[in-house]
Amino acid sequence: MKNVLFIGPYRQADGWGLAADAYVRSLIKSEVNLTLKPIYMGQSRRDCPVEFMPYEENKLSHYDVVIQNVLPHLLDYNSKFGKNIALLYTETTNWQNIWASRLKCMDEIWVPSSSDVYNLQGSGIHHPQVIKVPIAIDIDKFNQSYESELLTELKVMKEEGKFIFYFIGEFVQRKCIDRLIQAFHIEFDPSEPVELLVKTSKNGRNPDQLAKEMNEYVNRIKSILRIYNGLDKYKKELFITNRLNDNDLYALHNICSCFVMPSMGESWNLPTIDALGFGSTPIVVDGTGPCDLVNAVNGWIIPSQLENVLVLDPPLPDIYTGRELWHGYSTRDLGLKMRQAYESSKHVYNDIKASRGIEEVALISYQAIGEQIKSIL
Amino acid sequence: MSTAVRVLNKAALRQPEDKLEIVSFINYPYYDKLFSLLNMNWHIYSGNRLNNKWDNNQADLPKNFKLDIDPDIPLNVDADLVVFHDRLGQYDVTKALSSFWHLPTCLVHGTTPRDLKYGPKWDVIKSRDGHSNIFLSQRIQEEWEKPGYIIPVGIPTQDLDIIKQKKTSHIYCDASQQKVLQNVVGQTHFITKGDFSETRLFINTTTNWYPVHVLEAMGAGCCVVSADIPELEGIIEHEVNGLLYKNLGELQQLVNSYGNRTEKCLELGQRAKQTIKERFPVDRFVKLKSLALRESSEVLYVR
Repeated sequence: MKNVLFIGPYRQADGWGLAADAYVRSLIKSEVNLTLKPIYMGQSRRDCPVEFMPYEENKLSHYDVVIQNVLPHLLDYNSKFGKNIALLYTETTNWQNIWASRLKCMDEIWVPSSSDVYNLQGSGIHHPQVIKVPIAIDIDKFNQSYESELLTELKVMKEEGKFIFYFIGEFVQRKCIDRLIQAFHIEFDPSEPVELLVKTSKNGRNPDQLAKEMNEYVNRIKSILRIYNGLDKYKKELFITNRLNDNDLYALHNICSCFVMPSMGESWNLPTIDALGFGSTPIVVDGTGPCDLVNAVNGWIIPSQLENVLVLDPPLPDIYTGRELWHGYSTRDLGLKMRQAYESSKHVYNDIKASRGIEEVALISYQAIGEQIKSIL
Repeated sequence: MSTAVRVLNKAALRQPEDKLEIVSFINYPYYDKLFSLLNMNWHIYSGNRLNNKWDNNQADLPKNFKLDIDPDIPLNVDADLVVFHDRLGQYDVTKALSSFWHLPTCLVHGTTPRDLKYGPKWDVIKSRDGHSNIFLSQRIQEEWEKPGYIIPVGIPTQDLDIIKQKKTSHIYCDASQQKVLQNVVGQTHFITKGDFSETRLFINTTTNWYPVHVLEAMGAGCCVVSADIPELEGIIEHEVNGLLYKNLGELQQLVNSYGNRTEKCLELGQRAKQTIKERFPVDRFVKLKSLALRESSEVLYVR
């Protein structure tokens, strides 16, 4: 049995934390002798899951492997470990910073998706040991039903026959919420039984502040669109800016009709994978991480081409520069996919499409990924 | 440059026989030098807003101490632990260092909270914990109402022959109230580097720090006249192994009364020395403190 040290942000209450949590659960299934050490790369915190605690206390005399689930500039090779593994997520390619040189020092690089492999290669990392290890998911949750009092209004809409597009993600430029809003209003007339829900959050904003910011944001978009004579003529979007617990989040997936992830750069994206498992036939951008699981059979793919990254809100000073590339697409193509998703909902075959998604996520259970890790280590 | 991952790697790979690398601060060199008894390397950070001068008059810089005068976070130390004290503004700096490196911290409480305990910010001050706590006495722990290790300091006792030399009438005190004391008790001599060879009466006026110098003077067989502070409760028994005063009037009386009573002073000094031998053995301090710091270095860094 291998002695494995995992250093990662599993005590963070954010996307990084959730992904690290999933890798830990897979490692537990992989039957290694595991030691956990938390690292913090963001402000959010959560309690350590009870089942992880024995692994935090586990102290071994030597380690065969260290897995460092950190940003590449924090990686630290140590020859006392039999194998040094970097585990990372990427959103862009053609990096210009020190990340590539740090990664090349490691014995092995783990990434969750084909998109990451592509991004590494495009950044000059032709490491012989780049291995795709998907972020596992709790597949049992897809077999349960969820009720949420918070979402009663939404449930009524569904019962009235409304088709609800929805998005879950951070309010940052990369996610392209602006394009989603544009595409929705361009493609759908207010008279159609179609709604758009955006569940979002932003670092440093409380729910009320963010709700106000979102309203101003969509009004600016509508002002630019100039489709109708007055902002009040547009269909009103639905916003959720409060933090939802797992039950509410899963109920949201159950109620809503079609998940849209308009982001141009995604390594993996847990809400998309959840949506796939809940049968919400996601719409994703071609070339991004979720495309390892989402395809034309179980969802919708927006055609894309490489485009220079241009953002005003980079998460770190030396990434997302204009020389980096990600997967650009036309707003029109996004609108067309949303239209197709809506129209297909009227046909029986949409249920088949949804069931294919559920089959797909079964392949990335903790058990399945744990076995993959076991074979790699 | 050391990073959090490097520190976490090191912590995981650390073996029981590895010498610990500890980041700490300057308090009072006569007190800090006690830590040099431990088989560890001490990196003394003295950046902004902290006491940044090692006073060689109090103690020579020990060989296993390295002063880091860079005002920014010291970059080249693969540290195992940050050890800090409850005063002198060390908490905020410790928190920043600990957060940057993901290092566990150990807070040493050298004093009772005194008037802080009745102040408006007591809850805030009390919550300023390390990942582990060390208290220099049970009394200090009870006052702070926190869990942790109780580890009295270790005081080396000086050679018995010194008693023969204590025939001069020099009176020593610490520097802070030297001028005041001169008015009260006459000629005084500022203590340097714990040299008590000619000291018959040792006067302590320090009330805001753990009185290591008092214990050292006792260990050298001096007759101690000290301010009656909580940290000495249960250590000095008035007129048994030392003398305690509550105000400068009492101090003056004691100095007048004992200043020329050489035999009585030697008797109190002998008993004081016995107290130090029994209560503050160096080997126990080294053993307990080493164990506590090693265990503290193994504490998981969490926020």
